[in-house]
Amino acid sequence: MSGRHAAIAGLGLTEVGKVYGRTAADFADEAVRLAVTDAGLKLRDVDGLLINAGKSPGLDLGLAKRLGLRDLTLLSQVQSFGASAGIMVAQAATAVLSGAATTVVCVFADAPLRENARSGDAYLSSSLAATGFRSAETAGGFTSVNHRYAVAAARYMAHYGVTDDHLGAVAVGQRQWAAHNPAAQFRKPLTLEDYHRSRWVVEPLHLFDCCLVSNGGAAVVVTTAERAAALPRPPVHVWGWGQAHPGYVMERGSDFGLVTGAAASGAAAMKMAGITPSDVDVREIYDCYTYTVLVTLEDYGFCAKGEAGELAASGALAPGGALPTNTGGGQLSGFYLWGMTPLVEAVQQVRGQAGEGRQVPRHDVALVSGNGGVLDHHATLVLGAGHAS
Amino acid sequence: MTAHIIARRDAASAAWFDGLTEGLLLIRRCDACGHHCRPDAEACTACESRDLRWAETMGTARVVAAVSTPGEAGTATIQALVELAEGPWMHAPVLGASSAPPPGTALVLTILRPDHGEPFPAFTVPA
Repeated sequence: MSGRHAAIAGLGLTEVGKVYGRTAADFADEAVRLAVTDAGLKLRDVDGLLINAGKSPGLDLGLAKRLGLRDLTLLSQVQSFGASAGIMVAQAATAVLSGAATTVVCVFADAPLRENARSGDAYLSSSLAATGFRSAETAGGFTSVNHRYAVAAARYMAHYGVTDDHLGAVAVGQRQWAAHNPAAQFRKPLTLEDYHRSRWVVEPLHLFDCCLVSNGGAAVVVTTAERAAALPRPPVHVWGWGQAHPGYVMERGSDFGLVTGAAASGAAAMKMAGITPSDVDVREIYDCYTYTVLVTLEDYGFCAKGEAGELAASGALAPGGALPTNTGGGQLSGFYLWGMTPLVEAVQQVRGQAGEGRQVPRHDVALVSGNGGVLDHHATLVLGAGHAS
Repeated sequence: MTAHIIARRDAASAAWFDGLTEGLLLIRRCDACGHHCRPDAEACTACESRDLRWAETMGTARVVAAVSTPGEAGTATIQALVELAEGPWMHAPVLGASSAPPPGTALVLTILRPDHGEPFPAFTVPA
């Protein structure tokens, strides 16, 4: 992408995990304030706010009033589930480059965890409330999103000969990264044996194939690269972005489970940025499940279709590997703030501020993915430490 | 299957559940081009025509991908994405299998009629 750029100038991350007694709006409020302060700005400098609400109620446009924001020129809610963070940043970048706004905050927050309740319960209610055609599937045992992803993973694994050792290598490698992330919920070392001993959630998905559930919030401040250069934090340039919403037709011939929206959104984002996969230093891949890491890496072109499992098993994605991936532990071991999880880590990496044991030596270009629904929505961002060539 | 979770009809699905009550698994057939679509289709996925009508299926299918959900005391239930002989895919339980059957496994329709809620489709692996 040539010409003017947008840049991420501020990052805010609240305490995440089993943090009780606070609402999603409470977390969002704090995340916005943290991000604006991190950018060296005041709330009065903000003229755009994009909000992605999670599963819990109460986070909406009222956040602007709660924060005391006035005279906004951009205010909206975005909802493409796990793809929302990338889409918000893309919309914010478009706004600042067009002059529609100068300083846009993008925020996600959620508080689905309840004290003394199982984490898995946080995401059950929408399936169980189904009526009509979908309720027949629920009555037939498809009671959670885990079942639908398990089917996608099972198809992918059977088609390409991917094994649970391959999936386990993703979980183990990301836990190694998480050990160096003070914000990560799971930092205790995980072995492949631990992985195999963990219970089945829905076979072929073990417990450690599935992401965490977290309470918390995260926000970024997007402005022009010129303005970001005058602010205290190293600017993280937004080189490219793309979206894809495959709209799988669930009938004979469908690619469901085999090819995701990463193929189209990644190609679009990398074309805009003027890069290829070989230019990427660090990959922050949406990992609601280990399976999505593998299929997304393939769809982005980091390896041929069906080869990502062997790539993970070789250690390439883990600390010290050739293709550092999900360097904060991702959503499997770090924390689950939808598309903000990979974005937060990418910003820290490109800034060179991820910390000892986690910061990758080459960190000029980061690829960030977001995946929403059951492979229904995909967003990609290409972030760079400087202006794109 | 989870006993306390029931299938509930709504206006869009009423005719489909009526079919199941009568022992029929219905899908949508396009009057314009003859393509078969899922029961929840509102337009033909092949030609975009909205002239769809209910059509009976043969009641046979194949596994696209199957999974196993652990239950109590070492039990498990099997769920699958299945491809009906006519082409549409459905998420449905597979009965009588102790583990997830591989892709391509042939299946036949069984309509389950629980005490509560609407009937719903399931599939079995023929002996």
